Amino acid sequence: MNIQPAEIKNPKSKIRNTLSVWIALAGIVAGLVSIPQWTTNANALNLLFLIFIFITMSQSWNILGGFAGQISLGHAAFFGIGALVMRVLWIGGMEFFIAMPIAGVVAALCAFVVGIPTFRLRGAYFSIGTLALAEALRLTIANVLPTVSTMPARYIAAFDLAQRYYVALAIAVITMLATYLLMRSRWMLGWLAIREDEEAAQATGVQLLWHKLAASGISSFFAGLAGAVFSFQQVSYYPSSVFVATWTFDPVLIAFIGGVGTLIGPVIGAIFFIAIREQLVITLPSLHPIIFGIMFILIVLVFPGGLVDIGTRLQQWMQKRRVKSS
Amino acid sequence: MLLKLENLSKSFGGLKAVRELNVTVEAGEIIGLIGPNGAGKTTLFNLITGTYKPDAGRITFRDHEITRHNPSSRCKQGIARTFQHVRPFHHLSLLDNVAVGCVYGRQTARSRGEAERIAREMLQLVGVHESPQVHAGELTLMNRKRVELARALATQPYLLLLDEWMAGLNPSEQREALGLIRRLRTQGITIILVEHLVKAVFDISDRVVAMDAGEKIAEGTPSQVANDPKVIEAYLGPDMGGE
Repeated sequence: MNIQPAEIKNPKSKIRNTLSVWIALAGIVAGLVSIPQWTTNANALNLLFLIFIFITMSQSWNILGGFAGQISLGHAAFFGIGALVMRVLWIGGMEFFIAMPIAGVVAALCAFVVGIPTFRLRGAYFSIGTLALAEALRLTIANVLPTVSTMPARYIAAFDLAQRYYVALAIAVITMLATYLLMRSRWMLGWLAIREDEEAAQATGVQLLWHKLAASGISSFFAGLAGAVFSFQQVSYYPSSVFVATWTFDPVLIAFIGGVGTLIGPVIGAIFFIAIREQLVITLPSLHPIIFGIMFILIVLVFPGGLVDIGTRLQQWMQKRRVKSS
Repeated sequence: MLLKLENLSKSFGGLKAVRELNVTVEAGEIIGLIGPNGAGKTTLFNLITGTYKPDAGRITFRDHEITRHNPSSRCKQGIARTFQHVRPFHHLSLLDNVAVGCVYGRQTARSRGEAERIAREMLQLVGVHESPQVHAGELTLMNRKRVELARALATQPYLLLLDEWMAGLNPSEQREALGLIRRLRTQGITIILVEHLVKAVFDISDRVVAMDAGEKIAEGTPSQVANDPKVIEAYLGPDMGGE
């Protein structure tokens, strides 16, 4: 068997390592919090806002797809529901911080509506179910609410981009923390087991239906929050536009580019994706989807584990060299 | 009595894989299940673990009827298994593989830490404890089988079903495997094993059940079953069996 250098490390240096990781993370978050203090550049804040939304969306997809192995092809449904519920409640007069969790919960309930019938079946039924839900909602909303939704004038007058930035940052941080805690929970073992082999997981005592429902509920809750933040920020948008398939597939691409089934993958993926996309949209507006497609294929071919894989491979390579030279 | 199968039947389309089978298993026994290919051994296993539901008949485990219970519920009641084609969780570390059993089995570990502590003991018991962080998919066949066994043991079963556990192992590994099974018995675990290696089954079992074409054709001590004309006929054909 392979020698695992990680096992030989002494526990003291391990504690020191985790401590330094936490300090570094706190530093990054503090840095992000301070950004609106020294810039009011709307482009920069909007770009970061988008990155936060995509981190949340992609991590949400990752909880369900990357860890529990249940592939949602309709995450736009949960994003859109969150956006819609938030918009209605908030413009109806509810405080945004109360409307937001409600939007998340309604999105989670929608996940149960698809999950309860489809998770009992083996195979791609859940994926197809989510895809169908997103499309059905998009068409229905386009028919029922065909006109653009615009914030009331007094809302626009009171609009504060920095506040939207902070809310999006907070939701992204909460999603990351929740994922971190889930990864250390006992439920995560059940999810991973289901992802690896449903029959073996069941034979080891894992209840498939409950675990899948829990994963899809938690995942959709965060997707709903992401949608809520989005509709909290948009001055005007078509209510059906948040149900379009790009709100599903961009987060999926981000998860794969960054690293499926890892904590940090969606963050790296979102930064990479948004940064490159914004550049391409400006320089090559008509070609950018093709370039993106090719890039995605190359990354998945060369680094099946995503961009986080580059780091681990470098580490392995350096360890090998060290073993050789000693 | 630990497990009682009464008039158990299961068909797939027109094929009667198991028909009207009656078997009783006492606590602490090692039961060997033999029979030619297609005799219904694996189907019977799947009926006991709940992967299949029987068309007719009744399964009683520790005085509770479990005929309609699903596999995860049966695992929590104390029935664990290994698979004919070894199925550890390939992309999980050995520790996580076994910790799943600790968390979801009959005894529920209260935290990940406790689960990992028990998992380490189980890996030690089956003899793959040097590098618990390695992914199960990277191991040799024998070690993957060990990990799968450790995962099953981590659920704290009363009854353990080993499906072709020795298949694909070389003779020295087979000896190791037999030693391991004997060690499990000393821990008070009842074992039912299916094996193609009839000699190994006779060596280790207290009682042997022979199946052919879905039916039980013989039952008894290894020597009784080995000399049963029906068993010889099932394995070697009617001409040889007549001798």
